[in-house]
Amino acid sequence: METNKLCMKIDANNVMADLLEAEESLEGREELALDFSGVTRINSAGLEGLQSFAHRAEDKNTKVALRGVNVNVYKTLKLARLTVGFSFEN
Amino acid sequence: MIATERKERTQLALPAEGPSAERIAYLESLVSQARIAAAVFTQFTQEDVDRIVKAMVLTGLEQAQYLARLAVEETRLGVMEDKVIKNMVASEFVYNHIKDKRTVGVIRDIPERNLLEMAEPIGVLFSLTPITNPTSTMLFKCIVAIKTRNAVIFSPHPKAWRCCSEAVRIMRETAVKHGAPEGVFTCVESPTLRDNAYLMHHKDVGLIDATGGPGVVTAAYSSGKPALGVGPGNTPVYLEKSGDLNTAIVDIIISKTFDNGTICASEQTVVIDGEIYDAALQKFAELGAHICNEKETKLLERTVIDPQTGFMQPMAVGQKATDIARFVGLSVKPNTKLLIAEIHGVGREHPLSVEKLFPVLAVYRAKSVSEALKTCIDVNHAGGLGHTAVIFSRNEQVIREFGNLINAGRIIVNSPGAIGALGAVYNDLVPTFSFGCGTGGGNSTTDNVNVQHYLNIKRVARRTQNHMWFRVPNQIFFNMNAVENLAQFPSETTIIVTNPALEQIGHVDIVRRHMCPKTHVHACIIPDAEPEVKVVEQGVEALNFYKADQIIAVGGGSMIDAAKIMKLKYESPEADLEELAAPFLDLRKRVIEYPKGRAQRARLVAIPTTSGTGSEVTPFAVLTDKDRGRKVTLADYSLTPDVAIVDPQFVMSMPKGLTADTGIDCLTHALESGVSNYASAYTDANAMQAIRLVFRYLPIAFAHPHDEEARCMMHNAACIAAMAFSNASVGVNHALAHAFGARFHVAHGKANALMLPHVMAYNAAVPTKFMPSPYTKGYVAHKKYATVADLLGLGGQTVQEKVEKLIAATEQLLDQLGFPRSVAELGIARDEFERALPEMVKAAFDDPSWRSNPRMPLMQELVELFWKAYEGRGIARVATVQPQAL
Repeated sequence: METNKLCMKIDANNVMADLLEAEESLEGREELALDFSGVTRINSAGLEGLQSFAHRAEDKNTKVALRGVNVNVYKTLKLARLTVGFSFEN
Repeated sequence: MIATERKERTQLALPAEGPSAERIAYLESLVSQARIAAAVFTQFTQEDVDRIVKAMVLTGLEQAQYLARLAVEETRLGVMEDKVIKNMVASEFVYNHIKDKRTVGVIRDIPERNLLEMAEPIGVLFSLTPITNPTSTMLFKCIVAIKTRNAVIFSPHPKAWRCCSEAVRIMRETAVKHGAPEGVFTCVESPTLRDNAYLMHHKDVGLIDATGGPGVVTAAYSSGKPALGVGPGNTPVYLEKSGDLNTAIVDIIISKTFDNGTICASEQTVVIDGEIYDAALQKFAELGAHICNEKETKLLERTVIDPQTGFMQPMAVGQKATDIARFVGLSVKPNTKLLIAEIHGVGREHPLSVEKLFPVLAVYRAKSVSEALKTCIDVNHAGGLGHTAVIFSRNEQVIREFGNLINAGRIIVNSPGAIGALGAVYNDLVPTFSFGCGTGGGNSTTDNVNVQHYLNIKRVARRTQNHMWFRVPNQIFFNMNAVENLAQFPSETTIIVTNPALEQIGHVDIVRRHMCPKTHVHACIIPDAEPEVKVVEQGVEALNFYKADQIIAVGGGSMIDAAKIMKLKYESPEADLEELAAPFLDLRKRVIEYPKGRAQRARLVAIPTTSGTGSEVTPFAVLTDKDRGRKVTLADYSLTPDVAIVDPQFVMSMPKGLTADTGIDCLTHALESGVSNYASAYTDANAMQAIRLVFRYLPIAFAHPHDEEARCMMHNAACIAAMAFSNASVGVNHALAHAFGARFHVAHGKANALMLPHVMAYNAAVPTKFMPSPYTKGYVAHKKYATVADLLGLGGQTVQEKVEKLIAATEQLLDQLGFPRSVAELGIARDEFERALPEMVKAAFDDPSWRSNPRMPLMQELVELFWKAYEGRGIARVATVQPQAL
């Protein structure tokens, strides 16, 4: 099992695609960080993608940290009940 | 035939059991979509939602006819052409009202109150919609929901599901196309009562918006969720004889036939003044109404009203007048718009007096205004509470009386009830398709529901510091022979208020000598040391008798206080001293107002003969009410003397004991106002200077009573300290001293002296409880004591050391003046003191003096302070000062 922590940048315009790509890195990985610092707004598809990603990560026993989430997006995640599956890093 | 909305919706409150697991999964998917959409929506700006709303409104207008046709085809209710108008009102008129309204971020800035109002969306709404106005209600709710960034799950009436779900589809597609989150609107497929109950209780639903029958409203409010429940009505109309009959009849016909009477705000019973009754019916008939005879009325009421329930028969709702007539078996003209039936009362015995959502109108002939109003009240209370009422009148008095008597959220004047209540067409009411009916209708609001009801409004309240003030008499003359200035104040008749002793030692003569020549002078000699109400009343009699234009008070604080109250009663005889003495917390917000604009004015000149109370410049007055065994304390800047003459020649003969007592009273005023929560730079300047003068000159004045400079400086110090506490108030020391002094008859200055070092240590320590005060920033009492220590040159490096040195210096001063070191030294037995303690603590806590104290005294702390005073002074006994923690 790889112990090195991978950090993947999420592109504001391609959240879904980037999350799908990130899903491929879950296998055998203990920790993964997704850099959301470039995402200033997230849409319904993005939230659903994150929800799905959280489930996949849980299945693979991978701890996922969301890095640099701006406060508006954080509130959106909170209201969508998506803060539970992730840890947050500034 | 249509199913009964009332019956079906009543069952909503009582679902037999929950939905199946499969159904729950479906309902959860709707909630999940809505929750995600609502979450995404929080990121939208005002410009985002306004862009979407405009697109939706244009789509609503384009689709108005299509949706109206669908509604009529499915529900078989109402008039297609009218439903087009409703759809257009729900789009265009609502848009016109909300387009410039802010519903995102800051929605209102109120700088004069230092307040911001900000919007917070509700999130997920569960909305039940009616059969009577199906598509217009959908358009309205969708537009308002987008404007407020909410997601909605709709559950339309089952008999209007297809047209409603089509309206939702059209609105959703337009909204999403223009950027709204997916899932923002969903419509429960084939909704059941169990589905509705499940969603009403769902934790993710923030608000239920239920428009429909009483069952819907009851179920919504019974769910435990915040709800807007908007139900049925029973609109009374008063056609008063001064009203414009032509307008009234046309308006009533417009309203009652609009969409075949399906709007719940439409007219139900028209109460007509007897003088115009026949003319009114004739006009109704001329304009296409059929006036039923007695036999027809009986037939009608038996058919359109359910004899079992007393409510309207659903089969008649939204049907044409001619169709109803045919069904009932009445012979009417083919173009009949309306069936009119006379009733002779309201209630179950008069079936047509209830709500009738079809073109059947009850009319009632009233013999008087009183009878008309009573009948309208009866209709209002027969199912119409809180909803809508209508009046046609030109008589403003009658209109207002009607408004006062009728409990209705909308009282429509000289306009059609149904369209009038919708708002924005005939009046400036907020446009809506949901009428709040207030508590009378079991609702939480009487408003026309609109964007403000779909928002949580957050108030951002910035700290606001009230204006402060520094108010003192217009003129203060001081130093030796200042009394000579009296000559500049012209007066025809002056009353000198004083006591026998002061008159005897010649003070009154001195005053007389320096008064304006030709002044008629009369003396009012008050025998008591503490003036009481009766004596003041005698003084007022003298003022009235001589029509005095000037009052000169010569004496200590009590004498000047008595003169202040005499002046008040002289100028405002109606002033109720008992009422004016009512307690208050903040001078600005006090309940009692002092008299203003007094008819006659007398100048009050105060000449103090002690150097302590400073009453010559204060807005306070204390009077003894012997009959009631209490003291009356008055406080208002209107009591402040006009002129103060602080002339030390009047204190040169003051006894040593009085010099010490009044001197320490002055020091206590200065120290307490210095650390008061109301202290300002203005009061600090006075407080600090007074403290400096007391420490320097009080020992000299005490030891050498004839030292002119010391007497003069102490006289000034008392006045300067009083200017400070007149504007910053005092503190807990005075509260303790008042309670203790009153109980054990100890002079005020001495009582203050016994408490002072303990209170200073108490205020300098970390408070158990901070006193709420918008005037202060942080806790500064200990630092201000340290500043005083620096001013006095007492030394010390830290704040704590400086405070301790100030307390020690104060104790040293008290010793110099011969004050007892403890209450015990006064000969008060410990058990007697202990017995008196509960009463003293209660009195001290009731005393307004501590309200400005920097530290809020707890009852137990008052007990401890009293015991410290009993045990005695000495820095070791004084409470530990702990300023470092601050």
